[in-house]
Amino acid sequence: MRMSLREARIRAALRTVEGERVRWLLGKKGTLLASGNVFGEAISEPRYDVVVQKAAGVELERNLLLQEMEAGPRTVHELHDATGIAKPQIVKHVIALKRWRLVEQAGMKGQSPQYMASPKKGQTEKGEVN
Amino acid sequence: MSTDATHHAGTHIAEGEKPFEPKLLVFCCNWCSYAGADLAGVSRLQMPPYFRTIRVMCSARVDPEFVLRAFERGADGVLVAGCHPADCHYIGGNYRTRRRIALLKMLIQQFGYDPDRLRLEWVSAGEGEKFQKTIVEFTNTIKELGVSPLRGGE
Repeated sequence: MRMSLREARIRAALRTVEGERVRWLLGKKGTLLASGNVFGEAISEPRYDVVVQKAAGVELERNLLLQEMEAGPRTVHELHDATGIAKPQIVKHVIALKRWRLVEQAGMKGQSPQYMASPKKGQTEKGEVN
Repeated sequence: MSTDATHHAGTHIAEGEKPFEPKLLVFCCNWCSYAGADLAGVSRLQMPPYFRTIRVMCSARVDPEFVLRAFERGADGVLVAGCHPADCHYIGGNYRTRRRIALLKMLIQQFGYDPDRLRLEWVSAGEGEKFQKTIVEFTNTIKELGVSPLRGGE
């Protein structure tokens, strides 16, 4: 049974909380504000808030898409219909997810490529954990 | 005993309209905040009656899912009360909570909630008055923010 968008967003939010990107950004708040980033650029508190907020938004959307693609191969149109995220944004997310090998192309549906989530390490194709 | 921290009654209410009664959820740690809440009750400190308390063994027991589910099920505000830093019964639980709440504050904004709808407060077992003031302030904040976006508010 397909879960509602609200339920999917909550699950995506929980994955975001558990994910590394936002947690690390939060953990490095003190260092970033006191000594700047790796390029030595000073970061103000409002700027930091914007960065973290943006990262949280992006991670939430990516997790939402990833969840959808874990259920089976999806085209960008199908992802748009299921999540309500704008198509150009979905394309950007899919490119990023492909780069991190979290998503792979699974075939074509008409003229649209279908994408699905890559099986996690230590997991068989049937989803069983070794 | 102090009862000076009174809460506003609903302001600008049209005739026949029911005043906004916020639904607040308060997670209290067993060792400090729950005892603080108990002390506030025993001391008969006046508090608005819109909150429900859930006792957890440590504020770090409050999983992000609890908070998100509370908002999903119509809570207007969630308050997490724990031991003061360095006073945690489990050594460092409240530090984890602090980080988690900062993260959740960001996430709830993505759902259209004001970050002020989620609050973390340190309340020790002897701070009944602080617990009362926190509840009054939090209720006033939520009343100003209005109904949860999920229930048709902004």
